[in-house]
Amino acid sequence: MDLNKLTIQEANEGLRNGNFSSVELLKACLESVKANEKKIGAFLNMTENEALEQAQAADEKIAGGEELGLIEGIPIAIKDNMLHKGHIVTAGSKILEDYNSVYDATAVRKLKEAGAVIIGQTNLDEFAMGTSTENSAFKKTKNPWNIKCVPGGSSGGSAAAVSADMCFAALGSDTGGSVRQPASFCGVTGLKPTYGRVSRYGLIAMASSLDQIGTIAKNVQDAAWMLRAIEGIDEMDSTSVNVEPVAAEFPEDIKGIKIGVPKEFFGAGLDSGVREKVEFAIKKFEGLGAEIRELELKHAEYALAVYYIIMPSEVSSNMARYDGVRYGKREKGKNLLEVYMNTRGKNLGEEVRRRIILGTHTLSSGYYDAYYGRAQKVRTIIRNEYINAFKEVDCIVGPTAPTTAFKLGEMVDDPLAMYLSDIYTVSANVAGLPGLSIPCGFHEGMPVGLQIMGNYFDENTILRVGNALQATTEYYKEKPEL
Amino acid sequence: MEELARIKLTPKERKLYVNQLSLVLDYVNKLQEVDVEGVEPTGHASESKNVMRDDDVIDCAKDEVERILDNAPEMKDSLFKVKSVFEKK
Repeated sequence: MDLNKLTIQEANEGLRNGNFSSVELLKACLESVKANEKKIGAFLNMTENEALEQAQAADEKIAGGEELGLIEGIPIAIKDNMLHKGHIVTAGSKILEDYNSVYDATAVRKLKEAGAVIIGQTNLDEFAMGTSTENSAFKKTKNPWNIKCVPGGSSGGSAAAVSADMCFAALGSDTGGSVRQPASFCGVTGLKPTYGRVSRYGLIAMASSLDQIGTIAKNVQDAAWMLRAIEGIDEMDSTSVNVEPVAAEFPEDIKGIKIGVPKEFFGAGLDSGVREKVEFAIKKFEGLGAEIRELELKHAEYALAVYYIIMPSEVSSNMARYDGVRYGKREKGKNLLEVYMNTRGKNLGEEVRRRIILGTHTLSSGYYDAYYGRAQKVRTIIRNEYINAFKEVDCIVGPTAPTTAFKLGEMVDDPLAMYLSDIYTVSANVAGLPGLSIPCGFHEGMPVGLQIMGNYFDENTILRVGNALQATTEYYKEKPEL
Repeated sequence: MEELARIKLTPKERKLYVNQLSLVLDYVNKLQEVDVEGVEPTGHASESKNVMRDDDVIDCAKDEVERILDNAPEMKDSLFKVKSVFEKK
């Protein structure tokens, strides 16, 4: 039996029954890393020594007859933009190449407290800016389903690692789709919680009003178990919220659940193969007794434009901290201004600099009202449109991304085309809603993702609906040939 | 913009960015067609309110202090060293 191919739930049961140990689970994952990492390139840093200690601690607990937590003793990866005390965390950027984390991000600390075994830190687009993981300063991650294709991004390393069974689950961060889109491309499950459910403390900031840590796992239940470990209010993040934890189990029955299907999510730009699989999933929901309702979201088409003003604006201000003074690389210059300009010019990558310059422009005094001010108002309109929609339906479904995984290098010279990959996912960030991507079939051998969006803090409904589809289709059980 | 953003570009990058960013700005300009008369702006996804804590000094662990200082590119007597902010005329 390949232990690394189990789900968290199966592994948890096996640990409780003494069928295998946490150290054995870890070794099985490390075997997969050893065999496939050269080809896939999912990790930037392996933390196997610490992982071994964590696995041994879990095994001692089991031997002592103590109650085992849901993710205790389970090998998990974290995205390399979350602080991991005592380890180099780069955010995929040259400017942080030698940055040694001073403390643990709250989500990472909570994983440790839950007894998880942290095996390593995964590759990402530099500072999480991208949709293909090609913007990493260190390496390109490949899609385990076809190594000529990208894994999606920015949490591409996390999604590829889970897809290739190098770990049982991983943390990602989602600012415009960075958990859901790579999950869709790699045939795994990605959950972006409601803004505020998970603390952002220690997450290297990209766009603070949009960023949210999410979970990438092999199925819906595992994604929920991961979220249970990391959610909750945190005094270090004033936007975190005190709410009921998500459920650990979901009823398979979805009779009477009202599912909204916005026609705006099926317009031009949607690949016909993706459309077919998503429509098939909607038929399945109907067969399971859900009530399908067509929905009009008139302003959905503006969400991406709102995003591409608000996000770079916040990026330009968040990235001001990389000045070569307190941490990170520093370049020489004849005065302080030159030091700043050289440091940032040389050590920030092409996409990061592009977004800072765009954001500096949209926030500059002559343009603030026309761009940033207007985008914030359209954001209100979009948010209200969703609030009203959720008075009519329990959740909203559509494709996660307009296409399946594209080829490496295909879009690097065309940023706007690359940005369009987030067209269906950004709404959830703009409005602050939870979103789930689950596999709903294959098109020409590549996984297709279905997105289920829910009302504020109602992750339970989208998980329940996703779980019901997963139970009848079992696409999550399909594995790439490595 | 380069100076405002404190980023030095090469002439080649400058040309590339001008082209690419005009395309992006053309795209986001579609927001001009939305009627925003009387709409309040949204700054945050959650209903944000001020969160206060007592103004107490919280100690920082010694190993954390050391790690913070170790991360600095240049130091002098446990202070960050930078070029002078005000230049002599």
